[in-house]
Amino acid sequence: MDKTLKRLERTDIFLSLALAVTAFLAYLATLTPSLSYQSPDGNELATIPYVLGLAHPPGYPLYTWLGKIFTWLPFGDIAYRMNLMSALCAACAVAGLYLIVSMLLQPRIASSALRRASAAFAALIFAFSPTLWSQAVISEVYAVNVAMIVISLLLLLRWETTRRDRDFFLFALIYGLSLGTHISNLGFAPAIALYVLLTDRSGLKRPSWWIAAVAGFSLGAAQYLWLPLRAAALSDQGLLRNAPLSLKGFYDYTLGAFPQLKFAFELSELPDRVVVYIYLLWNQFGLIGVLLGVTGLFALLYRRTRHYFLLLGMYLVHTWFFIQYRAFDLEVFFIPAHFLWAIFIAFGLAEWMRIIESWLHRLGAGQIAKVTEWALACIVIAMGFFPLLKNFSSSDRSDDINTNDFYANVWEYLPENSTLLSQGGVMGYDAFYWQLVYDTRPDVLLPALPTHQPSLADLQGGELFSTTPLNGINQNRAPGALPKDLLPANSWQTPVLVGSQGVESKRNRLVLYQLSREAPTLVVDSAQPDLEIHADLGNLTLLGADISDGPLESGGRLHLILYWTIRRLEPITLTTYLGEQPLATHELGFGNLQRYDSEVKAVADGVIVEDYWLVIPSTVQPGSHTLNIQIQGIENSLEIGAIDVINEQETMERWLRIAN
Amino acid sequence: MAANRKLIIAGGVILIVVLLVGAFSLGVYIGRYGVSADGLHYQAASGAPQIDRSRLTRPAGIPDGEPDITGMIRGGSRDGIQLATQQGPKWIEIDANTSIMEISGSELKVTDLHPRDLVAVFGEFSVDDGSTLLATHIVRLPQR
Repeated sequence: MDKTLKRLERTDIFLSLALAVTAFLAYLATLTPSLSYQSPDGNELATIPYVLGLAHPPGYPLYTWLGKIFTWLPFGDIAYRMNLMSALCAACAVAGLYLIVSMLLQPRIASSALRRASAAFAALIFAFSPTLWSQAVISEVYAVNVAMIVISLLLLLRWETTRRDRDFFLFALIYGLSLGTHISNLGFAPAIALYVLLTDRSGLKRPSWWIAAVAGFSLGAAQYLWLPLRAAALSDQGLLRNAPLSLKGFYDYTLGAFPQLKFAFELSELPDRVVVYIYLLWNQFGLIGVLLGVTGLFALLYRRTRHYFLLLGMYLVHTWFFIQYRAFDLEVFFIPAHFLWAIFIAFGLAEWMRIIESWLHRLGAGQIAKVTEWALACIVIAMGFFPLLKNFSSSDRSDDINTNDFYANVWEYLPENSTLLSQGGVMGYDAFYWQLVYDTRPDVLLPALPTHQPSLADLQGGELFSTTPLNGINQNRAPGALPKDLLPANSWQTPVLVGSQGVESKRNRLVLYQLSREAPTLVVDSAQPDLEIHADLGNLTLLGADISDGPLESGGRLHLILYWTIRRLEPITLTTYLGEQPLATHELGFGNLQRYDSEVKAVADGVIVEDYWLVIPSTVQPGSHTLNIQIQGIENSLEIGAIDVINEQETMERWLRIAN
Repeated sequence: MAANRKLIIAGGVILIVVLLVGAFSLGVYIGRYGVSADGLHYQAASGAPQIDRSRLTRPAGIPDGEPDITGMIRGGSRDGIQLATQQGPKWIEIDANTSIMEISGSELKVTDLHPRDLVAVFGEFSVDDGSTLLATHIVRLPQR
């Protein structure tokens, strides 16, 4: 058996670059334009690097610093540049995967064309697997982390070739640094130690090796000194409880973070968890990928025994830890395991290639066999593009503009010196981003913003607004919660601006509420709408509507007043459509009718007035669009008017103009 | 060479154990849920361990105070769920205003609730004998 690693040739470097460029172009075409709710932490992770702050536990220092470099790019907004970092890192990981497989596959397994095809196939199906792709187009740590793992492995293999202490130092340094993109990488240490032991036991007797290993790793891990240095930037109540300002705080913020999520399942439940993992693996690579991976594990064991222990060891520790992890976005934690599985797939495929190649040589003359080999290699690579076609539309986040469209309108709408109550903690960065990065509307107070210590006095100067329902912010225990009794008791919360949500939004509502002590004018005695409609819908009648005049810039907002009468008070759900596109869904009266009926005026005796602004997504094409309302439980929708949409300003330009 | 053979045998044993764990898990899963996706919950399957509540915060959306009913789901439909509680069986009505969520605060749909799930329910009793409750919030609990 050939124990030496294959040297990378120029063709391999070229092919790895070609794979990286291919993956990067696909990520770029599907990149989220700015902020997004795709990940719960994404907006925080888009903001923190710019301000060199401290992210949620375990802090992600390296991610923060790398992100800072990307914020210097001269195009797009800061969030776009951070999304771009994910895309670039994921593409690097794809290239690295190809190089790792190329180094590990021995020349004797199959011809160079078939080996390269196997490696390229594995790289492509990993590149376009749904979970990696989902993280390659948003601001998150996972794509950067997998790139760090790949670089670490490449350096480890390089050390295997050279056995130089300085190469091991470099590996240890990068591995230590990789803890700053995900601290779970620490779990790879036992497998790496075993591999080193199997590779160069004599080297371990050299003090210089130990110095290189300890110094490299310590230097990389020393990035975590960033935490106490930046802990002063925290003011969120949830994070302050575990602020890394003491040894215990440091442990709680890093290795001890999220204790309720770790090893959260009983032994009897582990079979279910294993199946959840198998299901996720199947989602990435399909049944063929799962079976090829199993074949590849056997091949790896036989052909590269030491590397088998390294890669399988890493894989087992990683999957064992995360199948017992209780997270609602569980799939993203398995990306390193998927990366390792892709290597197993390459080995499995190469074995099949070897078998086919030997058949070909038995069947035909040399030249025909050669041509058939090349044809087979092309087919294998072409098959690697199948996930690209299959997953493109579901991975495409290029139209994920709702968050920015909504907040751009919020900042334009808010009166001078008003206060905006938002969610706190990591969930609040959809609003914090604008002020922290662009100093948008500094006159508007954001009490939940880290670094603020809000008091009642802060709120007394201007009008009060919120982007979250009152029950989400008027509690003093939740992460990012405001001080108790900060809000006026029993406030009315009236929606004034409603954002488009699409159908896949992971956030409850994109709504700007106005808070007031006095009841809003929700019911009037009579009304004369500009557009008379008089649509009888059983319990409900739409009398008419007022719609703002003139053409509307896409990404702007439409002023809409709807006049309703209702015979019997009951919850009624409405969805507003622009043409076929759903804009927003709300309950008639925005949840205030019941209270209004009991405290102010009988709702059935008057005309219900819904007066609000509706955000028109910046993806809406210029032209005339009908505005329709669909009542839940009623088949036909109501057309209430037509709107002319224009598109005179590029979307990013508009966001940046409003930002500052 | 002999050392390598030993390593291959050790590695082979590990691999076979891993594959057996996978096969055993699939068998247990199919025994529990059949060939369906019913057990594929990311956060909590049945019988999750007790959580240290002192370290938990109440996420946005979950009302303050004690729930009106806690119990185990016996069955149900889109309109409601039958709950086994210490006070006897209860019918929980679900309407368009009912929020269903995990204890983490993440939203669920009524179809995400399954028999044997433990839930805490906030709402108003709609029948005088206390047997029926109109739910405003249903929170699926992670612990048995």
